[in-house]
Amino acid sequence: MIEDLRRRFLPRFVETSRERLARAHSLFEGGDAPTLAHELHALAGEAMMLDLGAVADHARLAEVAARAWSKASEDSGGCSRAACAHCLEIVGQALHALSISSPNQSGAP
Amino acid sequence: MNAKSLRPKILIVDDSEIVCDSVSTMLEPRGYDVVSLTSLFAFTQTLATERPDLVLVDVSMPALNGDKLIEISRKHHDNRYKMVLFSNRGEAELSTLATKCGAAGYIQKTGDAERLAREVELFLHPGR
Repeated sequence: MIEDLRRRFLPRFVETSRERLARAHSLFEGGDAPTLAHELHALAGEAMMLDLGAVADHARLAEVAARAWSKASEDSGGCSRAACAHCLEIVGQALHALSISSPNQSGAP
Repeated sequence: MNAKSLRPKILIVDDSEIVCDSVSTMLEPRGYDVVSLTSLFAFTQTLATERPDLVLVDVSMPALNGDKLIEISRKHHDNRYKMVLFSNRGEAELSTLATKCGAAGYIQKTGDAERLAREVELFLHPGR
Protein backbone atom coordinates (compact mmCIF):
# COMPACT_ATOMS: atom_id res chain seq x y z
CA MET A 1 0.00 0.00 0.00
CA ILE A 2 2.75 2.45 0.89
CA GLU A 3 4.36 1.75 -2.48
CA ASP A 4 1.05 2.59 -4.12
CA LEU A 5 0.80 5.82 -2.12
CA ARG A 6 4.33 6.81 -3.04
CA ARG A 7 3.80 5.99 -6.68
CA ARG A 8 0.79 8.25 -6.71
CA PHE A 9 1.98 11.10 -4.53
CA LEU A 10 5.78 11.18 -4.39
CA PRO A 11 6.28 13.38 -7.49
CA ARG A 12 3.74 15.85 -6.09
CA PHE A 13 5.35 15.65 -2.66
CA VAL A 14 8.81 16.39 -4.07
CA GLU A 15 7.49 19.37 -6.02
CA THR A 16 5.43 20.72 -3.09
CA SER A 17 8.33 20.24 -0.68
CA ARG A 18 10.65 22.21 -2.91
CA GLU A 19 8.15 25.06 -2.84
CA ARG A 20 7.73 24.71 0.92
CA LEU A 21 11.49 24.73 1.44
CA ALA A 22 11.88 27.83 -0.73
CA ARG A 23 9.15 29.54 1.31
CA ALA A 24 10.85 28.32 4.50
CA HIS A 25 14.11 29.95 3.45
CA SER A 26 12.46 33.27 2.75
CA LEU A 27 10.53 33.10 6.06
CA PHE A 28 13.84 32.37 7.76
CA GLU A 29 15.48 35.38 6.10
CA GLY A 30 12.49 37.52 7.08
CA GLY A 31 12.67 36.32 10.69
CA ASP A 32 9.09 34.98 10.67
CA ALA A 33 9.74 31.98 12.94
CA PRO A 34 6.07 31.10 13.75
CA THR A 35 5.10 30.86 10.06
CA LEU A 36 8.33 29.02 9.34
CA ALA A 37 7.42 26.48 12.04
CA HIS A 38 4.00 26.01 10.45
CA GLU A 39 5.53 25.45 7.01
CA LEU A 40 7.92 22.84 8.38
CA HIS A 41 5.13 21.16 10.32
CA ALA A 42 3.11 20.81 7.11
CA LEU A 43 6.13 19.35 5.32
CA ALA A 44 6.67 16.85 8.14
CA GLY A 45 2.99 15.85 8.07
CA GLU A 46 3.03 15.19 4.34
CA ALA A 47 6.25 13.17 4.70
CA MET A 48 4.62 11.09 7.47
CA MET A 49 1.70 10.23 5.20
CA LEU A 50 4.13 8.79 2.66
CA ASP A 51 6.16 7.08 5.38
CA LEU A 52 9.27 9.12 4.52
CA GLY A 53 10.76 8.86 7.98
CA ALA A 54 14.04 10.72 7.40
CA VAL A 55 12.42 13.74 5.77
CA ALA A 56 9.67 13.78 8.42
CA ASP A 57 12.19 13.58 11.27
CA HIS A 58 14.42 16.34 9.87
CA ALA A 59 11.44 18.59 9.15
CA ARG A 60 10.15 18.00 12.67
CA LEU A 61 13.53 18.90 14.18
CA ALA A 62 13.59 22.04 12.05
CA GLU A 63 10.09 22.86 13.28
CA VAL A 64 11.23 22.46 16.89
CA ALA A 65 14.20 24.75 16.16
CA ALA A 66 11.90 27.33 14.57
CA ARG A 67 9.57 27.23 17.58
CA ALA A 68 12.56 27.64 19.92
CA TRP A 69 13.71 30.58 17.80
CA SER A 70 10.28 32.20 17.98
CA LYS A 71 10.37 31.98 21.78
CA ALA A 72 14.04 32.89 22.21
CA SER A 73 15.11 36.00 24.06
CA GLU A 74 17.34 38.62 22.45
CA ASP A 75 20.36 36.96 24.08
CA SER A 76 19.69 33.43 22.88
CA GLY A 77 18.03 34.37 19.58
CA GLY A 78 21.26 34.15 17.56
CA CYS A 79 21.93 30.62 18.73
CA SER A 80 18.36 29.49 17.98
CA ARG A 81 18.53 31.14 14.57
CA ALA A 82 21.76 29.29 13.80
CA ALA A 83 20.23 25.97 14.89
CA CYS A 84 17.28 26.67 12.65
CA ALA A 85 19.54 27.45 9.68
CA HIS A 86 21.40 24.17 10.24
CA CYS A 87 18.15 22.18 10.42
CA LEU A 88 16.86 23.81 7.22
CA GLU A 89 20.04 22.79 5.46
CA ILE A 90 19.59 19.18 6.61
CA VAL A 91 15.97 19.18 5.41
CA GLY A 92 17.19 20.45 2.05
CA GLN A 93 19.73 17.65 1.86
CA ALA A 94 17.13 15.02 2.77
CA LEU A 95 14.78 16.33 0.07
CA HIS A 96 17.57 16.40 -2.45
CA ALA A 97 18.49 12.79 -1.64
CA LEU A 98 14.84 11.84 -2.02
CA SER A 99 14.46 13.61 -5.35
CA ILE A 100 17.51 11.92 -6.87
CA SER A 101 16.49 8.50 -5.55
CA SER A 102 12.89 8.68 -6.77
CA PRO A 103 12.25 8.14 -10.45
CA ASN A 104 9.83 10.39 -12.34
CA GLN A 105 10.34 13.03 -9.66
CA SER A 106 8.91 15.90 -11.65
CA GLY A 107 6.36 14.04 -13.74
CA ALA A 108 2.70 13.48 -13.12
CA PRO A 109 1.76 10.56 -10.86
CA MET B 1 -23.72 5.10 10.25
CA ASN B 2 -24.52 7.52 7.49
CA ALA B 3 -28.16 7.31 6.39
CA LYS B 4 -27.41 7.63 2.68
CA SER B 5 -24.95 4.78 2.49
CA LEU B 6 -23.79 1.77 4.43
CA ARG B 7 -20.24 3.00 4.00
CA PRO B 8 -19.15 5.19 6.93
CA LYS B 9 -18.40 8.74 5.84
CA ILE B 10 -15.16 10.37 6.97
CA LEU B 11 -14.55 14.10 6.67
CA ILE B 12 -10.86 15.03 6.60
CA VAL B 13 -10.00 18.67 7.32
CA ASP B 14 -6.38 19.45 6.46
CA ASP B 15 -4.80 22.33 4.55
CA SER B 16 -2.53 19.86 2.71
CA GLU B 17 -4.01 18.34 -0.43
CA ILE B 18 -1.40 15.58 -0.29
CA VAL B 19 -2.59 14.55 3.18
CA CYS B 20 -6.28 14.67 2.17
CA ASP B 21 -5.69 12.70 -1.02
CA SER B 22 -3.53 10.13 0.80
CA VAL B 23 -6.27 9.56 3.39
CA SER B 24 -8.84 9.07 0.60
CA THR B 25 -6.53 6.67 -1.22
CA MET B 26 -6.02 4.62 1.95
CA LEU B 27 -9.58 4.57 3.27
CA GLU B 28 -11.84 4.42 0.21
CA PRO B 29 -10.75 0.91 -0.86
CA ARG B 30 -11.37 -0.18 2.74
CA GLY B 31 -15.04 0.69 2.65
CA TYR B 32 -15.20 4.33 3.67
CA ASP B 33 -16.47 7.38 1.83
CA VAL B 34 -14.02 10.24 2.30
CA VAL B 35 -14.82 13.93 1.91
CA SER B 36 -11.95 16.43 2.04
CA LEU B 37 -11.77 20.06 3.09
CA THR B 38 -8.53 21.97 2.61
CA SER B 39 -9.90 25.24 3.99
CA LEU B 40 -12.22 26.02 6.86
CA PHE B 41 -14.36 28.27 4.69
CA ALA B 42 -17.20 25.78 4.26
CA PHE B 43 -16.70 23.69 7.37
CA THR B 44 -20.09 24.21 9.02
CA GLN B 45 -21.93 23.87 5.72
CA THR B 46 -20.03 20.67 4.90
CA LEU B 47 -20.92 19.16 8.26
CA ALA B 48 -24.58 19.91 7.62
CA THR B 49 -24.67 18.58 4.07
CA GLU B 50 -22.34 15.59 4.40
CA ARG B 51 -23.21 14.55 7.96
CA PRO B 52 -19.97 12.61 8.44
CA ASP B 53 -19.69 9.70 10.86
CA LEU B 54 -16.20 10.84 11.86
CA VAL B 55 -14.25 14.07 11.34
CA LEU B 56 -10.43 14.02 11.24
CA VAL B 57 -9.11 17.51 12.00
CA ASP B 58 -5.52 18.55 11.40
CA VAL B 59 -4.09 20.41 14.40
CA SER B 60 -1.85 22.91 12.68
CA MET B 61 -3.74 24.94 10.08
CA PRO B 62 -3.10 28.49 8.91
CA ALA B 63 -6.44 30.12 9.76
CA LEU B 64 -7.35 28.28 12.94
CA ASN B 65 -5.77 25.40 14.81
CA GLY B 66 -7.74 22.14 14.74
CA ASP B 67 -8.18 21.98 18.50
CA LYS B 68 -9.77 25.45 18.48
CA LEU B 69 -11.99 24.44 15.57
CA ILE B 70 -13.24 21.43 17.52
CA GLU B 71 -13.77 23.51 20.64
CA ILE B 72 -15.84 26.10 18.74
CA SER B 73 -17.69 23.46 16.77
CA ARG B 74 -18.69 21.57 19.90
CA LYS B 75 -20.26 24.75 21.30
CA HIS B 76 -22.43 25.00 18.18
CA HIS B 77 -23.17 21.34 17.53
CA ASP B 78 -22.79 19.77 21.00
CA ASN B 79 -21.65 16.20 20.41
CA ARG B 80 -23.55 15.65 17.17
CA TYR B 81 -20.34 14.98 15.24
CA LYS B 82 -17.52 12.78 16.42
CA MET B 83 -14.28 14.72 15.90
CA VAL B 84 -10.71 13.58 16.41
CA LEU B 85 -7.41 15.40 16.06
CA PHE B 86 -5.27 14.21 13.16
CA SER B 87 -1.64 15.22 13.42
CA ASN B 88 2.02 14.27 13.31
CA ARG B 89 2.58 15.69 16.80
CA GLY B 90 3.61 13.43 19.68
CA GLU B 91 1.08 11.27 21.52
CA ALA B 92 1.41 13.08 24.86
CA GLU B 93 0.78 16.48 23.29
CA LEU B 94 -2.13 15.17 21.23
CA SER B 95 -3.70 13.49 24.22
CA THR B 96 -3.57 16.73 26.21
CA LEU B 97 -4.91 18.79 23.30
CA ALA B 98 -7.74 16.31 22.66
CA THR B 99 -8.82 16.42 26.30
CA LYS B 100 -8.68 20.21 26.43
CA CYS B 101 -10.70 20.80 23.28
CA GLY B 102 -13.23 18.03 23.85
CA ALA B 103 -12.21 15.88 20.88
CA ALA B 104 -13.13 12.20 20.95
CA GLY B 105 -9.41 11.47 20.73
CA TYR B 106 -6.58 11.64 18.24
CA ILE B 107 -5.02 9.73 15.38
CA GLN B 108 -1.39 10.22 14.40
CA LYS B 109 -0.68 10.76 10.73
CA THR B 110 0.59 7.63 9.04
CA GLY B 111 1.08 6.10 5.64
CA ASP B 112 0.11 2.71 7.06
CA ALA B 113 -3.36 2.17 5.60
CA GLU B 114 -4.20 -0.80 7.82
CA ARG B 115 -3.31 1.10 10.95
CA LEU B 116 -5.26 4.18 9.87
CA ALA B 117 -8.35 2.10 9.05
CA ARG B 118 -8.04 0.24 12.36
CA GLU B 119 -7.87 3.48 14.34
CA VAL B 120 -10.77 5.01 12.41
CA GLU B 121 -12.80 1.87 13.09
CA LEU B 122 -12.07 2.14 16.83
CA PHE B 123 -13.69 5.59 16.86
CA LEU B 124 -16.64 4.48 14.74
CA HIS B 125 -17.30 1.34 16.76
CA PRO B 126 -15.59 1.76 20.16
CA GLY B 127 -17.07 -1.43 21.60
CA ARG B 128 -15.80 -3.77 18.90
